[in-house]
Amino acid sequence: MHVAPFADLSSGTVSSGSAAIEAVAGPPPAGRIAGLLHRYANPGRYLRLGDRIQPFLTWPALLLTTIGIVWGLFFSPADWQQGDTVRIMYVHVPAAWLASLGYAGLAVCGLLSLVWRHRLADLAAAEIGPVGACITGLCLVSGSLWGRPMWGAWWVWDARLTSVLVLFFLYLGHVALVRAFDDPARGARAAAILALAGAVDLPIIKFSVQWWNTLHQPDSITLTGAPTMSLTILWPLLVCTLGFTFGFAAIVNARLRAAVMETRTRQLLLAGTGAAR
Amino acid sequence: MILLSMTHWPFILGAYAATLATASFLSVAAAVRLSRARRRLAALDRRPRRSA
Repeated sequence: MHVAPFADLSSGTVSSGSAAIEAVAGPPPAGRIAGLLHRYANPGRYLRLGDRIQPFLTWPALLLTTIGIVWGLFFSPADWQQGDTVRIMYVHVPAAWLASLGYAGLAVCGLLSLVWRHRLADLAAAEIGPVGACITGLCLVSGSLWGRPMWGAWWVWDARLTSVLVLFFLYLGHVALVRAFDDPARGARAAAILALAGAVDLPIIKFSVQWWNTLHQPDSITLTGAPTMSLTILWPLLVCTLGFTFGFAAIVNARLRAAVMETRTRQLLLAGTGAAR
Repeated sequence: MILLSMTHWPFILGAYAATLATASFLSVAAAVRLSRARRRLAALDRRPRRSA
C-alpha cells in the first residue's frame, strides 16, 4: 500500500467527518484560468461536487445505453452489404470514441499536473488510465469480432488497427508507470510525461484512414460533412455513444471519489501514527 | 429484426457479451471500491482522535 501519495492534501483543515474534508489549495498562481483550476483542485470541493453529479451521470448512462443497445440490436435495419454484422458498430464505435477521449483526458490531466501541479489531476489520471485501457481493449476485441466475418481475418496490421493497439499499450504503460515508483509523486510525474507524449497517437488514429490506404473504412461521421450512413443507423449509434460517454464519466467519477477518500484515510492514519509517537 | 439463421450472429453476440462483461466489471469494481473507501473513512472519522 502506498503511503501518503499526495501528502500535500493534508495541508488543509484536518477535521473529522468525510463531509468536512477541506484541503486548502496552495498559493494561487497568476491568471484567472490557473486560479480556477486551483479552485477545483480542492479534493474536498471535488468530493462534494462528485457526490452531487454522480446520479446525473449514472442514470442517463443506464437509460441511454439500454435504449441504444435495444434499438441497435433489435430495431435498426441491417446494412445492405454487411448484413446484421453492422450491429457490432453500436458497441465498437462508442468504445473507439471513448478510447481516444479517455486518452485526451489523460493528456489534459498530465498537462495540469506538470504545469500547474494540479493535485487532483494526478489522481484523475490514475483513475482514467485503467478504465481507458479496458475500453480500448473492448474496442480492439469488438473490432476483431467485426473484422473476422467482414475481412476474413481477426487482425490485420492496418494503420488504424495498429495505431489503436499502440494506444492500448500507451494506456498499459501509463497504468504501470503510476505504480512503478516507491514515491507515488514521481510515478505520477513520469506517467504525466508519457500521457502528454503519447497524445501524438490521437491524430494518427483519427487521420490514419486518410493518410494511408487502410482496410478499415474511412470515417462515416465528420464535423464538416454530412454522415455517410442512414439516419436509421445513425440515431441508435449516437444514443449508444452518448450513453457510453455518460457511463465512462460515471465510472471515472466514482473511482476518483474513492481515490480521494482513500487518500484522506491514509492521511488520517498517518496523522494518528504521528500523534502516537 | 434479427434473423437468427445468419451465421454472423455469434460474432455480434460475442461483441455485445464483451461489452457487457467490461461494463459490469468496471461498474462493480468502482462501486465496491467506493463503498469500501466510504466505510473506512467513516470508521476513522468515528474513532476518537488523539490530540498532538
